[in-house]
Amino acid sequence: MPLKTTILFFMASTLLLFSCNNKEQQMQDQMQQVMALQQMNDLATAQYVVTKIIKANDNQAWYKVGDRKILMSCKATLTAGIDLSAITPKNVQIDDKDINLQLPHAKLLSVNIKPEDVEEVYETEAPFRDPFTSGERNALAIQAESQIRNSVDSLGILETGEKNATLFISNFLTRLGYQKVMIHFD
Amino acid sequence: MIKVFTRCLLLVAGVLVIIFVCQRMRLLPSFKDIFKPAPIIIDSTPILVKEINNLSQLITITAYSEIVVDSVKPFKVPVFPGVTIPIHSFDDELVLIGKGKVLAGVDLGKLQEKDIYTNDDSVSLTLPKAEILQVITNPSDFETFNEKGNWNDNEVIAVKVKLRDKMIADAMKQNILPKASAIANMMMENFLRSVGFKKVTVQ
Repeated sequence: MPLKTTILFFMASTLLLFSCNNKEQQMQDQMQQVMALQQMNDLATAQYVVTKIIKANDNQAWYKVGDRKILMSCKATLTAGIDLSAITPKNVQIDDKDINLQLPHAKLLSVNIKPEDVEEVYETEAPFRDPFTSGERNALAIQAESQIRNSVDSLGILETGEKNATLFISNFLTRLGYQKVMIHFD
Repeated sequence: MIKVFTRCLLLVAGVLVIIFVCQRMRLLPSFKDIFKPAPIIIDSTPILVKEINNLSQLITITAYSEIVVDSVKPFKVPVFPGVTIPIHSFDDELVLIGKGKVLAGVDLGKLQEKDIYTNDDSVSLTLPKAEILQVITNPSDFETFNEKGNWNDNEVIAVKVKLRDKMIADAMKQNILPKASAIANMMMENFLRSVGFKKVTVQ
């Protein structure tokens, strides 16, 4: 190849590589956002912190040679409580210093798995396999989140939420001057 | 010759009909599914309860947010010792779409004796200051729109944490705390009226 052509080819390649964009040299983020506000009326009364091991083995596809295995740990914070907006005068019966209050049953208010609470503990892949991408790791964490949501009934957080709500509201009404506080859930 | 050709044709047609019928009856997998990537299913492992906490938080407002974050790790070639040239065509890029919730309200656990004053059918209540109670950005709230290059766990977490911080900052710009405080006052006022008080002051 003549020298002139080589130089031209080199210059064109360099220009192509450098002119694709003008991003900053350091790792940078661009963000765009949309926001909406909603009024809530929830009294959070119980919080459970739970942990789960995420274990997966990618060996299902017959045409891929070798396995990929991953082990992650996940911590989730579950919050339960009651909807205070359901308390209206018709749910309250007052007889001098005695009060009878009917509350709605406790519900799961939130499941919170912080990004830093999902940690990769171990990963291995066969020589012909790619490592797990961040998207694949997130997909596994989504499955764990779903399993945690489905376990709410067996964890007993709703019962604890109702017990704590009874305790808090009883104490609060006692401080307001009531002597006998009766609370039941319906 | 024609007879042999006709027989072959009939044989092929017969085999195709059998395959078609078997696929319809789900006895054979579809051709398009042969190279379909199999989903990775996680094992069912136990869920362990580490902590149980009692709360008394009044959640009065939720800010829903959706943010697109485009994160770039520049690719640099060392030319001389201490001198590098960035080559942007080889940059690693991660584009995440993140949805999240910022929950704000009042922690009623911080109420003290002096904050409640009652006299017959009158009550005066001073609520604690509103605060951000939770910021929820679960794995299911994130979608990886584009991933180019290698992004390890810590780098992805750093991007997600930045996104969460942006959600909090935006919620604060929307005056979430004064709004949470105003709603908490209104809620407690309604509650106190519901439980029999005629003159209610909540601040």
